Amino acid sequence: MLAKTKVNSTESILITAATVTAELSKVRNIAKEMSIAVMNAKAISHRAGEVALGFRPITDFIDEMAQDVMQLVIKISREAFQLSQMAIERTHLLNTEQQYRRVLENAQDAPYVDSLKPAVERIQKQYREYQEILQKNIVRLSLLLDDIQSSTKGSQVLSTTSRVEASQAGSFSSSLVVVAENLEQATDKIRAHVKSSQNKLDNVLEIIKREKL
Amino acid sequence: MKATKIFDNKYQWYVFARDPEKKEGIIDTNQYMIKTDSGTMLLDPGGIEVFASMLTAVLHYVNVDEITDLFASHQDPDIISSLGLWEEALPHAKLHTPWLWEGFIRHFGSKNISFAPIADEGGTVDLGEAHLQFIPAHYLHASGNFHVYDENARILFSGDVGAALEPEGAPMYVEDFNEHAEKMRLFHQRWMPSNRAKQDWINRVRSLDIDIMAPQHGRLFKGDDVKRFLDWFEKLDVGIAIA
Repeated sequence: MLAKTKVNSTESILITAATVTAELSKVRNIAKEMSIAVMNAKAISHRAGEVALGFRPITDFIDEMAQDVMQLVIKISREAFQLSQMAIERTHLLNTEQQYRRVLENAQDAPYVDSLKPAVERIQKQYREYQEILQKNIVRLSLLLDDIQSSTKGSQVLSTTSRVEASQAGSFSSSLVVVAENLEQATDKIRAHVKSSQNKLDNVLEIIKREKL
Repeated sequence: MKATKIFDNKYQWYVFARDPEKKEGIIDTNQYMIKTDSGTMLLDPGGIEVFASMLTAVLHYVNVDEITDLFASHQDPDIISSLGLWEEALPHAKLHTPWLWEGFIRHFGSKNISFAPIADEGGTVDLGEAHLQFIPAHYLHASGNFHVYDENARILFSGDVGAALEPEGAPMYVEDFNEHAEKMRLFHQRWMPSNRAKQDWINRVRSLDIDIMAPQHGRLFKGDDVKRFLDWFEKLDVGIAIA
């Protein structure tokens, strides 16, 4: 029964890693859209001239934020893939350990049965190491997701500032207000996707922590 | 799993087969072991499904850390899909296998084992007192394929050549060749693709002094039945699935 739970936990890790990757793909798309919207806003504020001068540093900041988010997404996706690989290797160790234990039970009368024990101990040690590394990797993944949250933290303040600056842009005001509103919506969506990923990682971490050989 | 000693003089040959725990629908396989004072080799150690039974049987004859070499005649799962399970217990063992299949066999969960690729023309390896020859058997049935000949024991491990599909509990040795031949016919006609490869192998094997021909499925051939098999195989048309 315990073994079945462990195999299910591997499935949980694989599903979580795939879900996080899918959520991050959405985050990347939003960041890309932000980046394109910012290019548009830069063009508008350039055309608006002096009246939109205050908007330009804001567009630079949004662009930088979008680039940061996209870089983090690449890094986290890579880590999520490694997490899946590690979960599969852990399952292999688990299956091997089960097979070896079956042999130890069935070969009790075999003269050389004891020679298998060091291998079983080696596998169990390796399994425990994998457990630790898996937990560390999940925590690291969650911290990287925190970095995305941090990158987007200032967006609400920025959105308010954007609106103020946009309102002073004369005939270009309405276009820049739209940019400011889109910024707020986009960062809200990013934060929601990231939070959902973090919740899933927290759940799978709890499952792994409960497991023992 | 039943263990039978088939040679005992300074070193031993064993065959492990007829696994009563084998799941239904899985082809029965013969695994072999050569045990010498300075090393032990498993020949076609089997698939994942027979791993536990095979290792249990092996531990009646040898310490696991005395297993120094593995041999895989080709890449099929019933031959070597257990590799990832074996290698956790045999971190220092060497796997002798056709060079052609190394990258494929690594798909069976292999991380640490050391590969000793066998060149197309074959090769030799000394295992204690046993001087073993890797005999080319390409296209019988795999495109890269070897058998193992032990000149001293006069045993030819013949992989899928000589194989028969039989009901559970069949005897270990062929008793009536003519009766047995019918159990081998379809296997050889359908699994072996090339008459040319077949004849090349027969010519090579006729020059060897063989007391026992030991296939990976079915029964072993002893004495005159080895010659009877070669004559029968020579006349058999193989590669029949081509319309």
